[in-house]
Amino acid sequence: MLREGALALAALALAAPGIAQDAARSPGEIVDAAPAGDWVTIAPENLLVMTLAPDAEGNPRKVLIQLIGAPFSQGWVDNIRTLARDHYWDGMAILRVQDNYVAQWGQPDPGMGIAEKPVPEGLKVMSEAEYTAGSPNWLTSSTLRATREPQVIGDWPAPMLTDPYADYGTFRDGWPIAGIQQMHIARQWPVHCYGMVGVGRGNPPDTGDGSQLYAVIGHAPRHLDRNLAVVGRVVEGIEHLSSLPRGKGPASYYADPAKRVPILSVRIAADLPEGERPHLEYLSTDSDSFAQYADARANRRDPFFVASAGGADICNIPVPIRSVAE
Amino acid sequence: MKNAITLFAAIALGTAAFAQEAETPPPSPSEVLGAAPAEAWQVISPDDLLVFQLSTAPDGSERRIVIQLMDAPWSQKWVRNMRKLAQGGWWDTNSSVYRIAPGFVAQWGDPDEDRAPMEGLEEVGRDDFTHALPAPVSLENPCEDRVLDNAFCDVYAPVAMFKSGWPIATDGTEDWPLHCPGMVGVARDVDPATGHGDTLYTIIGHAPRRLDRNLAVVGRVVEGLDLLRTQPPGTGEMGFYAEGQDPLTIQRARLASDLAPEARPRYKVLKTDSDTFVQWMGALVQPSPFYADPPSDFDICALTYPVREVEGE
Repeated sequence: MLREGALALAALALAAPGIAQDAARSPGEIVDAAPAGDWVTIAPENLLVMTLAPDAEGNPRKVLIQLIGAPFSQGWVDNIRTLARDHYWDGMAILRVQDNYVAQWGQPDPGMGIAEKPVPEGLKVMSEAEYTAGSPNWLTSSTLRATREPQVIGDWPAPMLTDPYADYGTFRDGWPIAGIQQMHIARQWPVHCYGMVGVGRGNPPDTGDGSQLYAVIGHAPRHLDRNLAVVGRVVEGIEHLSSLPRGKGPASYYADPAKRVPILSVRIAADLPEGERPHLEYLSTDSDSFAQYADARANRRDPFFVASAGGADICNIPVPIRSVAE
Repeated sequence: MKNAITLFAAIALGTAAFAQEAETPPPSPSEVLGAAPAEAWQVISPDDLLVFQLSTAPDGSERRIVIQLMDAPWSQKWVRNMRKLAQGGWWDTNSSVYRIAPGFVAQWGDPDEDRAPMEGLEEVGRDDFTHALPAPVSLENPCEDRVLDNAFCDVYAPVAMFKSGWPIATDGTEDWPLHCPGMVGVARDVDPATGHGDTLYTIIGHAPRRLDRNLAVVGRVVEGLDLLRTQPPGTGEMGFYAEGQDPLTIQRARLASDLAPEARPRYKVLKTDSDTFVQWMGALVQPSPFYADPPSDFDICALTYPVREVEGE
């Protein structure tokens, strides 16, 4: 009954007698078997803890967001740290939830009848040029050719694959990215997959200061790539955003203020007492384990599957994240 | 690989559009659909709409899920089974939406699976997940030319396209419907001959295209998808509802044609061979004041195929 997880267990039992059956491992089994050295700690400085008001039954709601690392979107990421340390979002709310699209919080859009909240001084002003970053020089080589099967090509350490929105899709330091590689242009950018977090903005050239954020809660809206800044991803608690009632007002804003879920606080994990910090790791996208995992996502060989796609889209190879006890 | 070209084109077009803004800004996709002539739409037959009536909401409002059943030649054994199941009242007993896995699927049917299967259902097998083309077709690779037309660059198959309003992929010898958001499939056990159409799921997150050709795609949700996406996640394994969780109850399921005329949902789907379809695709790649740099192509599952409620008479 579409029970991939349960089947994973069955497959594990089947696979146990011989290493020869390695090829039949499910993506989950590959991740579970990855050596400790393939996991990378998410620095507490790069982890945002958003605490929402408890749900109707009183259950706590916590959303953890990993901030993206250099070379992508760092001006906005710095602003987000500044805003969190100013307790900017405390007492604000989730303002907009649009089905199969985004959940949005923080600074309201003009014209929604919600008072704007002044931002702290000193936020960086970013330009559209920062939506993308340069890629290493060797990528300008015309020999690079991504295929539907994710494969490590040349010196680039992570699997590359065909991407309908770019010349290739791949991973860089744990993040799903896409790139163009032409005679005089070689750029890369983080992509809008499910769970990714971006910066809301007005029309160009206003590119947003980071006070209004959104998370993708539907099929990857890749047309937003290079049109908005991607600054992170939800690594825990996406259901607290994706399952919220949809707004009925313009642009799916909540017409009824009572529907808005209050944000109690947003903090950088590094600023929390040691005992309250979440500890998370991601699977290094440069590791052999990840290459095997990506291959298994594209070529399912576990028993449930009777046909193998021979490919996967960049947003269907989510970078594995795990919570670790201290 | 025309990203840079598109970028320049976008700037040029943007400037031109700005200069002409007072006259004719290009229509948005929703404006294109709003202005479509009646003949651009196909009204969906009431025999192809399956209505799941759910328990009423806490505020007393009616809740239902409406599915458009897949057209021939795809998955018709399951579609016939589903009509039989509805007419035999299968879902009127012990049925609920008992699995909500955020980012993946919502699943419904009889969670206990201890009833004897309905008699007279057609046997199915793995060959039925796809449809054999009458003759092999030679294909060009749409990834070589990144323009948005009805041959999509696809990572899971040589070509993807909309056919008769459905997202379909082909390898030149077979074609099959895709696991895009809102599409409905038939759950099964490990044996591919096990799912007959009584247990269904729909995609509530990013398209899990790996399931294509592995499970039967039998239709799409045309009403109630937001309701499914906003149900509390199942706290059991893989998003199944745990003991004590209260799933949405299915009271009954009927074909629209078996409902009283005033109770029938009425929907229409954009004809894929209409001019409006071409204009709609064109509007998706137009730069706008907000999107200076739209993509020149889309992933087929990123587009929600136009289906609208029929208003008035």
